[in-house]
Parts: sequence; C-alpha cells; structure tokens
Amino acid sequence: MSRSDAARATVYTHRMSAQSTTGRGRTAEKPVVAVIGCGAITEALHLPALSRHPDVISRAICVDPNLDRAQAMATKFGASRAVERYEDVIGDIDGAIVAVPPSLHYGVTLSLVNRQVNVLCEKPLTETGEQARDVIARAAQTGAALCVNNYRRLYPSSIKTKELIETGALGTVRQFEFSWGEKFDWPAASGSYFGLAAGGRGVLADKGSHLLDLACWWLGGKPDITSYEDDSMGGTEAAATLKFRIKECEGVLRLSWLSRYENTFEIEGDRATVTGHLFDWNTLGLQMSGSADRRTLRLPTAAKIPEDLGSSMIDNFLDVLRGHAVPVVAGADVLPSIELIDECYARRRRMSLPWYDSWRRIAAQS
Amino acid sequence: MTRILVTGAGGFIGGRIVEVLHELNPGSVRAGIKRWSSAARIGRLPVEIVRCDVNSTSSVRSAMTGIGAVVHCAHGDSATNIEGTRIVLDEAQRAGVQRVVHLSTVAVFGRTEGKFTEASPPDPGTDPYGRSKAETEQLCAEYGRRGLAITVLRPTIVYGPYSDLWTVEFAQRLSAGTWFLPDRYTQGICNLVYVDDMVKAVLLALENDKAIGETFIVNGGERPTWSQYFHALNDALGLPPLLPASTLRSRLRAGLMLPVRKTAKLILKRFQPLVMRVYQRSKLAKKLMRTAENAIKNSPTGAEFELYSLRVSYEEQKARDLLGYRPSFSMRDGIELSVAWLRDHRYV
Repeated sequence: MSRSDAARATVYTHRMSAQSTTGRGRTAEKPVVAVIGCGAITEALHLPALSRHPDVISRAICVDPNLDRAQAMATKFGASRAVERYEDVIGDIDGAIVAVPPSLHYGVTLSLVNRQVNVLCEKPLTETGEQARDVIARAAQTGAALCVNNYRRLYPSSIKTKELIETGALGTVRQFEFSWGEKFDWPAASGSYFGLAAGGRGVLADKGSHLLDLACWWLGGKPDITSYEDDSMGGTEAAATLKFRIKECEGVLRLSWLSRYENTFEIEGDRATVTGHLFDWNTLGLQMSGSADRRTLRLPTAAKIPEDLGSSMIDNFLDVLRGHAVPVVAGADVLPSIELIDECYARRRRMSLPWYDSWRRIAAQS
Repeated sequence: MTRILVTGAGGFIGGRIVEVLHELNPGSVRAGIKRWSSAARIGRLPVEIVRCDVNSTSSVRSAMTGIGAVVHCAHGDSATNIEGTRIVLDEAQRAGVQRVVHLSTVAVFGRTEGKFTEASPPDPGTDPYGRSKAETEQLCAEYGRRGLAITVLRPTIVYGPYSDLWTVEFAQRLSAGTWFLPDRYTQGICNLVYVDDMVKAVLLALENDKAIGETFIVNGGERPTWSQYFHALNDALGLPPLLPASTLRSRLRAGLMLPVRKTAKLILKRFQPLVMRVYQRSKLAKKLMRTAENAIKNSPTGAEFELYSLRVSYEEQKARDLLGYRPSFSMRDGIELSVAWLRDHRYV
C-alpha cells in the first residue's frame, strides 16, 4: 500500500461512520464521471485524484465552456474526451464533479440531480439557503446522491475536535474563536471570485464555507448571529468578522483574503480547552482547566499534504457511484452553514476602515 | 465621462488609485491586473476588473477599449518596465487615448547626494530599476513628440497601507525586537510621501492641461531623516524605545547574511517547486525555512546602509507651482493610518 493509499484508507474509516443520506441515483461498477469546470481546483485536485483510478479517468469527460482548456486537461490527465456543454453529455454519465464558479453551482447541480446524476459539488453547495434546500429536496426526490467537497471535515483534527465536544470532554463549551487569513494566492483562472462577477460574495462565501461549516458541525447546529461586518464597498468582501452565540457558547470567526492571521482555533469549555491550527490536520493542543498541564494530541494519519485528504473525498464519491458507500458530507450536512452565510450577508455592516476613508481628505482638497 | 484604465491595479499604488477614482467618480475606472490572484483588494469595489498583462499587446489592446485616460502603474523586471511601457503607450496612441500618466521614480537620479529637481539630469548609475525607469521616461518623451498627451510622475518613498517595502517590512522588523540599524547609518533624508498624496498628484496630473508633456517629482511635505521615520513608526506601534545598535555588530550581521541571502535566492530560483513540496510535507523543514526567512528579513543589507545614510532631497516645487499640489498627510498622519491598518491586518 502506498503512502497516499494509506492516507486515504485512514480517512475512509472515519467517513464510513459519518451520518449521511443514501444516494439512489445511477450506479455503476465502472462509472462515467464528468468534471464540469476545468479551472485551477480541477487541475490541482479533482483530475489528479481521478487519475489514481485508471478505469475511471479513461472514461471521464472534461467539460468547460473554454474547449481548449477542457481539451488540455483531458489530454494532460488521460480523460476520454472534452466538451463545451455538460448538457450534451448528461445522458452518458453516472456522476459529475461540479467545479464551476460558485454562482453557477445551484443551476448546474439542480439540472444534474433532476436527471438522477450523482453529484460531488465544490463548496459552497449553493449561494443561498433557499437554493440549498431546493437542490437537497430535488436530489432526495430523484434519488441522486449529493456530496459536497467540504473536505476539512475529513481532517483527523476536525474529527477529534468534534469528538471532544460531543463526548463532553471539554465540558460545557463557553468560548469559540477561529481565524483564517492569508493573502489570496489561488491561481484563479477567471475573475469569478471577485467584484461584480462574484455577486458581492467574497471571503465569507469562500473560506467561510469551510470555517462556518466546521463551526456548525462541531457546535451542533446553526448559531445565532450577534454581529457581522465586512469590508465590502459594493463588491466582494476581503475581510469579515462574525460574532455569534449558540447555547452557552459565544464565538468569533475572522476571515481575510488580505491579512495574515494565525489561522488557529480555540474552543474553551468548563473542563478543557482545545486548540488547533488550520493547516495542521493531525495535531491538537488540550489544556485541562485549572491545570498547567498541556497535552499535545497527535492523531494518526498518513496524509502529508491537504490533497491527500482532498482526494479521499473523490474516492468516497466514486464508491457512492459504485453503490458501495454513502456520501461522507451530503448536501443536508452543509445546510446550516449555508443558511448562516446567507444571514450574515443579509445583516452585513461595513467595518471601520480609516485608512480607506482617508480618500475624503483628497476629495476635500482637490 | 472619461473612462480611466489603471494598469497594475492589483498593486500597492495602483490599488489605491482605483479606490480613490471609484469613490470620486463611480463607474469611471477600469482596473487592469496581470493575475486574478491580485484582485482581492480592488474586488471589494463594484469596479470593472480586466486582465491587462502589459507584456501582451492583445491583452493591453483589449483592456484599452473605450478608454479615455490611462494611469500606468504596472511594473516588473527591466524588460517588463521597458517593453510593457512601450506596449501601453503604443496601444494608448492607437486607441486615441487623451491622457496618459506614467509612474516613474526618483531612482532615475541614482544614489547621489544633493538636491534634485526636474531640471536635474537623470543618472541612474548601475541600478537596473532606475535604469529601466529612465528608459521608460525616454519612451514617454518619444510618444509625447508623436502627439500622445503624457505626464511623467516621479514618486519618492511612497509608504502607507499595503506597502510591503516601506511599511510592512519595517513594522515587522521593529516588532521582532531586534533592530540592527545604528543611528549613525540612518541620518540620511527619508523622502516620504504618503500614498494618498501620491494619488492626489495623479489626479491633478490627469485633470490639469499644464501637466501634458511634463515631468514632476512627487514628494511629501516634510524631510525627516530615516532615523526619525523609524523612531516615529516604532512609537506609533507602541513598542519600547529603540536602543542604539552597535555599528560593528550591524555591519557584521549584514556581511554574514549576504551569502545566506544569495544562497536562499539561488535555491528558490532553481528549485522552487521542490522547496515548496518539502515545505508542505515536513514540519521541521517548514520551521527551519521560516527561521531563515525571518533572519534574512530582519537583517539590513549593505545597500540599505547606503540608502539610509544618503543626504538627498527631491523637490516637489514644480508640482506645487504648476499643478497646485499640496501634500495633505504629515508623516504623523501617514504613520497613524498605516499603523491602524497594520494592526487590523495582524502584521503587528
């Protein structure tokens, strides 16, 4: 067993115990998969992961409105063919990986599940709670499996954190802090992330769809918003701060595409506090209340890079297509975080940015 | 309404120009960027963002469609500076653009002491950046003779939010608590101009017909020493007073770090993918690389000693006289805004 295989197997154990819905859409031992959208994430994650399965990649279809790009990806990874429109192949496929710009997730995913095509959708599943509820309901009606690539749930550190909260090892959770800030350096192939093209949904919809999902999952539901502010001035926010409350816990979540945060989380309970780093998937710190003793929990995993864990999600999807597994993260699982993001945008207030507003001094004196 | 294309809109100065132009006249600006990954800052505004790689004629031509004025901020290596500017000017002329503001630099004067005005002849010496910018100025003169209405601005030390070079790095060095610059080597003049004052000069150059065919130095209103700047920044950051650094130790450290700096640069240039893979997969390697990076960042270079000792003043009188330019931000104002931003962005 190679190191990567071992990494996937380790994750897989957790996934089989996850609570999810069962897909009843098209299944096949040798599934035909369409990869819809051939941007940076597809090249970095989906196609390399599919190419570990020769019988799948050789049947796969690359789809992109930029046919040259689709063809280049098909050639690079050994897919069977490339097309411009997913509608042209919808009758030929058992499953589809949806990696189009987020604003198109809903429309594309809905068309697919309506035709009983099983879907693995990139996060966020949809832009609004209403869309998410609709597509989840349609998938349930048609029997199509609906998986979402919130792969951070597969991190051993995420799973252990969930366990520490659920088992009461932390006691009653009182405080929650989570931050993710780094300069945006994703090699985006288009401008769909920013400004008008993204419909004014920025870092909260992007990084937030991971962090808010983890927060809802760990804390057992959708919290109530205390306040939400960001730095959008009519375009996509690059920084956002959410304060919330759930049960006895008060939380704050900070996100940024421009700042360099610590990228850590800290969850404080009556009995213990757990800390972790966003990019350290196999280590947690555990501090017992009233004790100077701080333990480092090293969690078993062979994963060396995030892609090892990300490709586990693809493996799960392939097993769903073969009828051997249920989705590890299903559409319904991410609904609370999508609704929370929706509510944040509805309540958005602009942050104080004195270094931005100083333009008024130029205007006054020009 | 004149549509204004800003090249290099993903950068420090270009980004701020886009912000101010948008606020003053919504819908007037088109932001030109080389890579989408640089669009996070300007994406906060409802402005038009387009790909504009100044090395590509077709990219610039497409970005220039329907444009009445261009502010050319994009820069890079020498080839990009020169050929990129040639392409921008060529396409501006082709598209019938009415006004071009080109951002050059006072580095065209090289590292010589004294007082410099627009009448002083450019002499960049061996500095590749200054040389390439001097060449872009010659291109501007050439296209000006062909009828393009161009203004050249030569900013000094532009600092403020989003300035890695003159704001973030200094703040991080100061915050690290290991300051290696002795006062003796920081008595040169720091020709600071706050980024908003730089933008103000751009606006004046765009609006004023007297600016056509002219070159202007853009400086702030004060002439602090580098030492004064460092101490003021240190105080505004709320850090303990700077202790005098030993000249010998500082020189020694700069000398010792030189081969480390060169080796790291060489390794990164030749083996970047491999280095990144090792960085991602090994915690120990990550820790070692970060330690090395911090040591390099926190150590001054020989060139820095030279710069911070230089007694030179770049006079902005012509901009005052012809354009009515008046700096609005004192060093204290600029540092205050910069520190608020540094704290918000968790740089310090």
